[in-house]
Amino acid sequence: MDVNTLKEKFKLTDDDLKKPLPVPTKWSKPFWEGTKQHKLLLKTCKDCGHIDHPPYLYCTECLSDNSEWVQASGRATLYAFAINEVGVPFPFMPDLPYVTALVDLKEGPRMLSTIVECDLKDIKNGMELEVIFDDVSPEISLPKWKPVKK
Amino acid sequence: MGKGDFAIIGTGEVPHGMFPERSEFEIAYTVARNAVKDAGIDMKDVGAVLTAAHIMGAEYNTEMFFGHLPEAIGARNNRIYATTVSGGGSSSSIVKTAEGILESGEADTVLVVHAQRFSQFSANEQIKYFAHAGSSPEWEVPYGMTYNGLAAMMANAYMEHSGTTIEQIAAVSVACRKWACLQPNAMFNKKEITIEDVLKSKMVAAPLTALMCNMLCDGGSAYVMTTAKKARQIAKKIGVKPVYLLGHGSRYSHRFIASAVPSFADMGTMYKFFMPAANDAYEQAGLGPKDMDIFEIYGAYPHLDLLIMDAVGACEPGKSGALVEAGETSPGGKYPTTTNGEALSFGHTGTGVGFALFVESVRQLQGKAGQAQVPDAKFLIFNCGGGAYSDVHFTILGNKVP
Repeated sequence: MDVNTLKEKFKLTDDDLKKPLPVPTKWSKPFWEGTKQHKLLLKTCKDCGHIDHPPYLYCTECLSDNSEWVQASGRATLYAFAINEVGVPFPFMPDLPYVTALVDLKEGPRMLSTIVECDLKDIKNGMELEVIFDDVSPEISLPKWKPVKK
Repeated sequence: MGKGDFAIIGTGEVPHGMFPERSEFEIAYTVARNAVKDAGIDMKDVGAVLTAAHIMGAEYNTEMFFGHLPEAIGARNNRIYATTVSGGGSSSSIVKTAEGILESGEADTVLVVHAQRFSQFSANEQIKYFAHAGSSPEWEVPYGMTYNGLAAMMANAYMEHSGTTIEQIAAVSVACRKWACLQPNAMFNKKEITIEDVLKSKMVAAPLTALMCNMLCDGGSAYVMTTAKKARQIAKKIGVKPVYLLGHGSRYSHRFIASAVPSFADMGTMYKFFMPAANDAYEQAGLGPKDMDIFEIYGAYPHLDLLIMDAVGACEPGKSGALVEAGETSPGGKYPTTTNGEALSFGHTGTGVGFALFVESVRQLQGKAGQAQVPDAKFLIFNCGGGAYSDVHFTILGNKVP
């Protein structure tokens, strides 16, 4: 559905169609500063080595404050996906059909994201992925994933 | 607190569906009176009133937080009121709250009430609310994540790793509708559906079609819980059949689906997450899967029903799809499962799906389930869970203490 039909059908304003963006917290700010520079950073505990993604105030494994942000390889495999067809939030309706995916990072954590630059029919669980960064606003760049070209 | 120390003696319910003219307050008052009358007690016997949260619309919740309900229903000897909320798991946490109150001795009769009216909100308001509820504003919502999308990813992984087919998943929707057709208060109780109907219905979030997704609606239910001692006294006097709480088991995994604990994260074998909780409940009850006459499962989506059934011992893990497809969980089958049709066909009332299924569990064990009655049911396992599949709860109920 194109934006104008959508607006008319549901009596929506431009605001209703604005895509929701992450609002960084005190402890997630370095992650979003990283994506802005097209780097995927993971909060890693310097005491026990545990990676927290999403990041929290302190290490959720050993409760330590002693952490560093380590750049990830940007490689992952696709664990599972869905192709959204209807019934999504208004700002996402013009994008239909689109994919939501669970992506397993080489470093361990799983991430909820989307698959881009890939025909819907070619998406397969287990496929190799690499990260790209979508600069959705001056402040926010969202990590998304595309197939690794063989 | 021990096995069989507490019992439910009466239940109340109203028709589920879209009834915009029936307020959530009217629902609460009605189910409360129905439950107290069904229990054969006086409203003035109620010593504690527990309410579940209303999803969307703050007025009802605020009123409950400020002690509205006991006065409005005539429970003038009431001492304690509280709201217990943990999303779709509320029906389990509220039972445990009630057990704590009864154990304290402050009250010997607890009335539990749930009410929900989604029909007061426009489609736009509901879409907006459920676009964000259950998904993280920072990590999930920016990607267009929805509850249906979440469930669809889990279906994709479950099929891939367990060998379950989409036809078997559709068969759950079919079985739920069969049960709902035997339930006067179900939202969809007019016409049975076929596997073909389910597969041909509109694609919502591939691989899930519309008939694999639950429907929001208005509804409510209530029950009266008391000590086993008092239940037996009342039973002697007026002949109601107490239904005893025999065992519980719970586990918590995550807030965000991507952060699931290892036993949950491998979605083909997610029964490894659910099974220890079910086993805790069986063990406390001193019973096993073979003793269960009914499996009351609340997955809200058909493949979630299968994932949980894989864990409760009716069949080998990973084989629940075949069991459902063979009709064994349907009315007349060997393993009657989800006898009110739950969120898929009875209707999704926010935190209330578990309450409706709990009340149906009690009815079955009291022999009051009408056309849906499973003959001579003595013991059953009840299940619920909340959040983005964040937690799981099992309770064993029986009309006698083994």
